[in-house]
Amino acid sequence: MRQLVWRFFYGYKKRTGFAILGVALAMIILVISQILLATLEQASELGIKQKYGNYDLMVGYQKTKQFLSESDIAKIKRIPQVKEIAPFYYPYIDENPIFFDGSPIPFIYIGVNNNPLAKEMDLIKRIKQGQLPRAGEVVLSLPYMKKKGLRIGDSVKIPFASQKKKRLTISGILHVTDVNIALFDLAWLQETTAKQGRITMMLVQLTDLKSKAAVIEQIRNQFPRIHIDKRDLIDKERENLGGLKPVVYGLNVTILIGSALLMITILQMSLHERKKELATIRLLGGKKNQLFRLVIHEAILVSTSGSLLGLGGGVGLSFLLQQSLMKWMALPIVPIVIPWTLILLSLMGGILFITLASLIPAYRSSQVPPMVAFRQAAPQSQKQKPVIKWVSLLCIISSVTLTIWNLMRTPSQTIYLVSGLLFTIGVFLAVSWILPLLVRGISWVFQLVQSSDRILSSRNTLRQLHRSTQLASVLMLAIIIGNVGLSILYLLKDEQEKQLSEIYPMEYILDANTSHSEAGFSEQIYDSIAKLPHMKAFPLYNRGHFSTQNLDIKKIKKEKLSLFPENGSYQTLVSLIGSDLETIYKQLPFRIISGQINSSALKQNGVVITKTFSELTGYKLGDPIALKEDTQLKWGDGPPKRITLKIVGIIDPYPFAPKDDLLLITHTDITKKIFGISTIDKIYFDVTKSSAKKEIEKQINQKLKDPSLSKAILTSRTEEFGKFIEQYKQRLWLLGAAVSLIALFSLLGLLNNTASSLQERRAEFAVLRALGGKRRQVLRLILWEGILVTTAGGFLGMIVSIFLGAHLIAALDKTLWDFPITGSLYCLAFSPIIGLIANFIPAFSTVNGKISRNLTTDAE
Amino acid sequence: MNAVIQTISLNKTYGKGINQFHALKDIQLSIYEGEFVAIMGTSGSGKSTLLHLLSGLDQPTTGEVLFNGKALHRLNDSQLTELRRDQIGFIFQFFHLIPVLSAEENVTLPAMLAGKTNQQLTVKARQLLQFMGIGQLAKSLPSQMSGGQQQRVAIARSLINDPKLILADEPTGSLDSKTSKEILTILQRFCAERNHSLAMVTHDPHVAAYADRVIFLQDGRIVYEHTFTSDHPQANASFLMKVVEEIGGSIS
Ligand SMILES: Nc1ncnc2c1ncn2[C@@H]1O[C@H](COP(=O)(O)OP(=O)(O)O)[C@@H](O)[C@H]1O
Ligand SMILES: [Mg+2]
Repeated sequence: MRQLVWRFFYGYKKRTGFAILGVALAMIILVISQILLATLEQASELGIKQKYGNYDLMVGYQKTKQFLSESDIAKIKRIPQVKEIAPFYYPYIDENPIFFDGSPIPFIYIGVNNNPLAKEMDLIKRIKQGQLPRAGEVVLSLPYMKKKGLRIGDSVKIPFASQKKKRLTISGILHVTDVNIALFDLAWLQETTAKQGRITMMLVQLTDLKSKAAVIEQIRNQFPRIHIDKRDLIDKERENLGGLKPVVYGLNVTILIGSALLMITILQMSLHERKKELATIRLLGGKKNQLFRLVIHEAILVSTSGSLLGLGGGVGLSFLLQQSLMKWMALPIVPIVIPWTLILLSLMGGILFITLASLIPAYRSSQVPPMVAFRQAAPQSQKQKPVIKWVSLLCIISSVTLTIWNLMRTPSQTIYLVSGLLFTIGVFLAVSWILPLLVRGISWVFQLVQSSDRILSSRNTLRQLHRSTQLASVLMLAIIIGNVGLSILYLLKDEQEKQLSEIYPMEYILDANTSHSEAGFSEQIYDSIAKLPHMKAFPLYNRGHFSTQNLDIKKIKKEKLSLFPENGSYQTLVSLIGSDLETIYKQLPFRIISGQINSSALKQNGVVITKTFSELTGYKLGDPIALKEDTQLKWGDGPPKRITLKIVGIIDPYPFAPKDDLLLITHTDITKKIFGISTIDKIYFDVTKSSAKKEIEKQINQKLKDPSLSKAILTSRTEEFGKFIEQYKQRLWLLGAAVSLIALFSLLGLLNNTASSLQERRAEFAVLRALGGKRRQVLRLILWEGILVTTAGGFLGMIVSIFLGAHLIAALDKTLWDFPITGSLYCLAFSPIIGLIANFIPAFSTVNGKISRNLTTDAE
Repeated sequence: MNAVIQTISLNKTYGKGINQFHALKDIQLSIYEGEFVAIMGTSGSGKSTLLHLLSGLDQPTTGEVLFNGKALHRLNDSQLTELRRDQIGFIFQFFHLIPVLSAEENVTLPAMLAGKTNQQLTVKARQLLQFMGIGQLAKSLPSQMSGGQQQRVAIARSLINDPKLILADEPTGSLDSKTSKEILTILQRFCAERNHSLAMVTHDPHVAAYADRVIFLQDGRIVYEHTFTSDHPQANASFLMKVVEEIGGSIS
């Protein structure tokens, strides 16, 4: 028995070779993608840690009065997911600034513990000479050291708020440029300022990134007013890879399906060719299950050797690809990571899957009675069970019905999804009866223009079609994945573009990045930025938080508004900001729907609302709107103040806020004088001269080095979009690679198919030649057969792509009328080429074969 | 009389070195307009090889084939193809009909390959099929016909372009003797009427007896040649049987 397997294996080298190649290709992709993904993950994690420091949260206060006590620190340490903390103490953060002699800029004092996590902070990393201070030591910033001609080891007198001076030894130099900083040993500083156990801020390292949200919540619960830097920027960067994973896995699965389908057809083909041999085995006493086992053995042999080849090739190629990929993705180069368990598991899964797939042809061939196998000269067409035909029709019809029904009501996104999937399944089940219809249709169309001998091709194609059905499905799969993937990627890109242009009405945003009722930039900082050359800047002031007092419950859209009970009726939370609407309007025009935006009107307790605000809350032009400061989120001290403003204008939109932001805009006079809000949350700006952009970015980043601005972030639309485009391109490449691979599978299968079917029909083609068919003519006939099959498959793929694509987009985006037409047309134009290529080599050898030999050899 | 086809010391060897096989040796043969030549010989004596050389399907190792005085080796592949298409008709032992084409379409195939399709051609195909006695099967597929019916279609196919020469390789080889006789009579009558030449390979003396002339091949050589004087197939057949016995070697 085993011997027989080997004999078959060797006897059909070419065919087996194809099958192994197909499996190996799939496995190579599987292996490469796992290895590269693991390596990329490692590299990007490393890159992120290098760039941002290896800590996950920054927790603390920004005022001297607020602090964490020793017991507070212990509480945070006790949270199970907290691995490590590094405490810092700022004794004079917002009061009693301390000046050294000869320096006009005040010194910022920081107490720091000498622990490894502390060194992850950007500021500490800047101690480029010397070391962290011990008790009695200090680290000073470079400019002051230079100015005073100080060196490490020198002793200096340092002033403290209590007017005492202390003598300390310099232990290191902090390389910062335009700020003055003095670093001390934490415990020493606490003692010296008589604030034992106090810390202002700490870095937190977590055991597991996934617990971030949970830890934040626990800290918030215990310290409601604490500020937490979630380091969203880092998460965003991680997301890049995180988002890549499902894409890669999804494509891997489709590739595996493609290769399994290829395997099935190749096995089927080789079984068909060996029918007589297999029948002989049966006649000589081989049992059905022996035959079955024979085929399974071969399948295991093929899939295992293919997988091993794939493993070798995949690991090898990964080593080759890794460096260029890392460079391309701008990641640090790390040694390759081979996730062996994952790879071996997926290889085993792949082998199992492919072997299972081969059960189908194995079972079929073992069921054929021996005599039938002998008699069957012509390949029998596998009659599909009529049940499947009806099921497929049912799927398609119900899908179309669902969609039409959905269109007639308020469309449900889920229904679109279901309908799209139903249609796709239906078509795949229907391939074996739709494909012949399509081939007929296409040849009928072409009969109008082509020479009459092509009738032969169409008929031959129809006769041989049952062999190519699965391969046409593989091609369809490639087309569908390609098109649908492409349209989803396009959709994401469009959305991103739209979103970004809403978030960025101007090119740059300088975000103070402070929390709700925490002061942003001072007006001085704003002025210093706005007066840089080629600047067009607008401030977005911090907002005041108010609850409405006279909301008319009958006019509102309840489901879109969060309401809370107050004074026996329901009210909602709104924000009030001061803004120079007139100037903004001149630069960034928005629609004034009704009323006016004049400063003079706003100053007299006037307020402008947005269209959405009016729609949601029911307030109209001319209405008075009564407000009361929110107790928890209010600015400054004292009891909450009340005010009633009159709506003087309605605009759409306010350029610096999302549409659904419940925003009241008034003059800064009111917000400043009455509510004491004079800081700026965000600075929006454009640089009018593009050559000046680099310089201005540099200058602003320089300013941000000031520790009081350490949280502020400068972002730009171009940069954000660029990041997205980078990801988009990666995904596009991946998609392209997967689609090409699946298309290659169908090509390999068709090539194998044609080779075998032409071999069977070589006498037929020799007759054509003998009867006066020219070489080119016969070649054309054979190529046309391939073209017909893949064009039909391509056409079907196009239909499904358009239908499924539109439905998936509808499921994401609500409207159905977004059809991926262009991509589909490309695929339709491309699919004949696959048939052409697949048939070319076998066709060429057929027409160049000796006519006389092929005529005399028995056609069977 | 004009020779439609003439060979000049034709030799054909297959293979190389120790595998070399001399399939045809120094063949001198002319077939004249309207003549019916039967080619007899044991299996493997080179009969099919000879027909392939005559039609240009294969090239001789040395020697020449002249068709209407034109040397075949001077023609390129495309010209040879056209020659076969327009001037030569083929009939094979296993019929070699195209399975996906109906009887009528099979008959018009050579014309179809020439790019000709018109109503007249279809009419002509119908007439030929009628003449072969299977007019009612015009729309049938080969798989729906018996061997004899298929061979009649094949004969009609060989005649559609009014070829000068018809080459038939054991056309009755897969048919029973009654069907063979019917088919042969039709073929002979048709060729005689239209002045087509016919070269037919057979190892059946009863079939060869219909010919004007018989040649015997043995080990690639023409070993015997006879022109019948009698028109009586029965007499010719018994004569041929004696010759076969004399030459020795069982035929088939
Ligand atoms: N393509 C070929 N290669 C090698 N030998 C061949 C080839 N074709 C025919 N032969 C040999 O030439 C001899 C004559 O063959 P053929 O003409 O087919 O004989 P037959 O008289 O039976 O038709 C045979 O011995 C055959 O084996
Ligand atoms: Mg022969």
